[in-house]
Amino acid sequence: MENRRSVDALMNDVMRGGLSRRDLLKRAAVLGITGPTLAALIAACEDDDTDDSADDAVVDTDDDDEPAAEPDTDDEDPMETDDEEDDAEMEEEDDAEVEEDDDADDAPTESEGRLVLLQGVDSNTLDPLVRNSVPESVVNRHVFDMMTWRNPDTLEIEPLVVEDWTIVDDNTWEFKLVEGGQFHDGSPVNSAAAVHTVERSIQDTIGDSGRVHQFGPQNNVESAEEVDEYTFRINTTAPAPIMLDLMATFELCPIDPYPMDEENVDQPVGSGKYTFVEWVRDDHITLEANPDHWDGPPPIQEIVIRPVPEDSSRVIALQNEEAHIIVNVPPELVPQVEEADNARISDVEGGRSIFVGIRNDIEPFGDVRVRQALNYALDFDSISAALLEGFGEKMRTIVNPPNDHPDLEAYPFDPERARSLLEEAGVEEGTRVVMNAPRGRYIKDDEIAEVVAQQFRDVGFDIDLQILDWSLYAGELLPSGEPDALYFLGLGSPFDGQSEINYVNPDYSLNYTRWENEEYVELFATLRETLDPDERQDLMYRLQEIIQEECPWVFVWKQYDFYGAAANLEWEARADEAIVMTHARFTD
Amino acid sequence: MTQYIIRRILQAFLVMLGVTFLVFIVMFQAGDPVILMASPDASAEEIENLRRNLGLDRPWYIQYADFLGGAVQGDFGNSLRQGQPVFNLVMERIPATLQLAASAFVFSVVISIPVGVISATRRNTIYDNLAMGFALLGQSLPVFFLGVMLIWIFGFVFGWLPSAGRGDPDFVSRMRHLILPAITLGTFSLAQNARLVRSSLLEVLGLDYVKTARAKGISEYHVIMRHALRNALIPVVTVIGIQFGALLGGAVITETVFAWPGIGRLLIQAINQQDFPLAVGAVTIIALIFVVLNLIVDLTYGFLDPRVRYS
Repeated sequence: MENRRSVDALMNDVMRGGLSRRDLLKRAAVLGITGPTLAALIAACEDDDTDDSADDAVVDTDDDDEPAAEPDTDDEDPMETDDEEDDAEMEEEDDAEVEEDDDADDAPTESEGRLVLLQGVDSNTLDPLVRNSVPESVVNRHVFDMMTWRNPDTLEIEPLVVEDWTIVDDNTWEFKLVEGGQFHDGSPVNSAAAVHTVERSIQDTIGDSGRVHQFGPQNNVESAEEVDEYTFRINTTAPAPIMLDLMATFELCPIDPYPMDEENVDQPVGSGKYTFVEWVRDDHITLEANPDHWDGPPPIQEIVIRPVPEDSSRVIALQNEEAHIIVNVPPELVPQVEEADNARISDVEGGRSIFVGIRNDIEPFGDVRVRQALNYALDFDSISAALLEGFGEKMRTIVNPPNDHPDLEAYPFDPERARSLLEEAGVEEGTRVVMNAPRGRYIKDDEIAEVVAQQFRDVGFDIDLQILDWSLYAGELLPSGEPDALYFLGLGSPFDGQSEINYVNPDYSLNYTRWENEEYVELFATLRETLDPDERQDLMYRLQEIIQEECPWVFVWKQYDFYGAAANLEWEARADEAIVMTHARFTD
Repeated sequence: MTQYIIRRILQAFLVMLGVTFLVFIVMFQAGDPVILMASPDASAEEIENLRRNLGLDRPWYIQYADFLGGAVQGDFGNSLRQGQPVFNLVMERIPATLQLAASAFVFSVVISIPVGVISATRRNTIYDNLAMGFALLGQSLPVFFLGVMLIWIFGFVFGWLPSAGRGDPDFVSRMRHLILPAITLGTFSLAQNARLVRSSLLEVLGLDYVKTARAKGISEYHVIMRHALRNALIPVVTVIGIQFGALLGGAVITETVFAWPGIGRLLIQAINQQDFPLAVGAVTIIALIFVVLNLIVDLTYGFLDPRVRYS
């Protein structure tokens, strides 16, 4: 009966007009109506002389049929290139719509089953604006709708609850929300909620909590305003070219459960595909499918997220079928999971750059030849074979896909070249160098550091490797701003290009290299204010070339992420560390 | 008696002061929590603001005095990472830790007494040697190693028992999840108790009243169960009482290995995350429980035995 009412409402909206094709298809998909059926329904509702056009409206993907609400494409518009991009986006979206339509038969009408995810640690807070770790965002991206979404295959930004956007001018972005969405507390998904969310995020603190900025002044965000029921604008103090990337990790919140001056730690209320049921700290978080989600219910009815710190315990739980997805399978346990009949490994090259930072202000590392020599001295293949079960490759460039320079190659392992460069630079055999490394933060961090140090010794350095537990490394050594000449570190995992390039910016708080390059500084400043995608790409490629040539780091690898998954679960790991279970489903 | 009570309370107060001071100093020296809390791209100014907002820019003695002032009113501050009152976070986890410690305690007592009795009554037989061999092994194995081995054998090789967490709320799931951690935690005290029961019983079995009982023709079963064991258990009961506290402490490692959501794991997590108020508050509350329990025991002793209060 409810479904019948929804179909009637949809037909009424279609007949009244003003419903975009995208909305029409989405709402139809939610109701389980396929394209041909929808066309037939519309045809049945319309007069005879409009039948053909109604069919076209559904099956034709030509842009000419788009509603007239799209951005102006006036030649004199300063944002012409962006409009062109919008057009291109619309074409892509149309293709996607056709696919969505094709998939509509598979779209679940109701959810079933129970999925257990084991993470390494529990959440500290589920307030979207105070959360500060991947496990927390894993929970949140199911309870909340992120504003936008990163396609797991292309890593490009795509619409989600924000279904469309326009750059109005250098300092203004306009966003359009999907219509018909509802938060779990019953309030509507609308621009008032979006504005509240943005304004809450740009405060210095929220209540007593140690505020962690996610979307604030450091990203030039100044204010937000409503345009209409579903349209809102974000105003910035300077161009914010990575706005859409930021939106991909930014949860849309309702107003009442998220007061401006109070942290909502443990009662998350969003508009996502799952509703929050309970959180027993250090034990489990339970989520339940939201049957009323604007994009349809998820295939799986219940998700239970448990913290299990021991790697081996997680693996055993997976093999005993107590869990269906587990994080951080240690490389040495990968074969064990792969051999199991009921489990498999889902691995992906992540976006976390693992490197050895080089202090350019400590001799002899001010000389680029010495820095290059260290990169030539690194034999990652032997590290991979000995410690990582053959996984991983030497880092090609610090930038993650899709903005990585396609033509750059990793420094080859060439110890002879390393020695000759050191000789040219006048570095004496046995020069003593202190290298710092952490233990317990990255995959095999201390062991990889041991091998790297030995490889540097092999080309003539006397490396004094000093390994510290992560708490001391991150709590004392790095905050001092004075790590030793070489320091092992990992940074990640953004995918906008600019953030990765920022790692070697002299102003970046975790850059201790003291590397300075005028061209880099100049181009990076330009990049930060450039909105045009083509120009940005050219700038990013050139900056990557500079970094590769100048090598303020020894480029080690992009850390691999190993997940274990039940053999009967359709789910794959993503490079951006997001564990997305909204589309996971059991095959039996 | 009043003087005795006052003296004991003052001693307990000094112990608490010492514990809080030591923990506070250790945590204060352990590093800067603000760096771990701030986002990677936070500027130095933002980090400084965060430090100021949290009150961590003040000298240690001011922070300590502030902590003490709050603690005596039951306010241990808020967790830096979880934003919740420390007291609530600790209290939420006490049931899980008590459940684990109590189960380990029961496991230890129920097994150790028969094992000790069999060893003592069949001295130098294969039963005795086997039992004492296992007891030695049980005392020698580190808790974390035993836990991992049990997980490997019963969780992985046989797949009989779950290896992590407390399970779903239903009784069967809870019990299945409890077995391995309870065995892990209880094994050390089981071994210790079994050896103690054995030696204590052997000693009693050589006493005159046991010989008399035997001479009177009472069955060996009754001699042991009615006469010898009851006296042999006196030192065992004293030790077992002390052990319950040790089980609570030992739960720190067991809870971590088995992902058991108790106080021990909360404490480890707080230390790892440099959650200064939570670590200090959790240790203080745990210490407070110990001190209060000990105080009650001491006062009870004093009440029951006048020699204690006049000594």
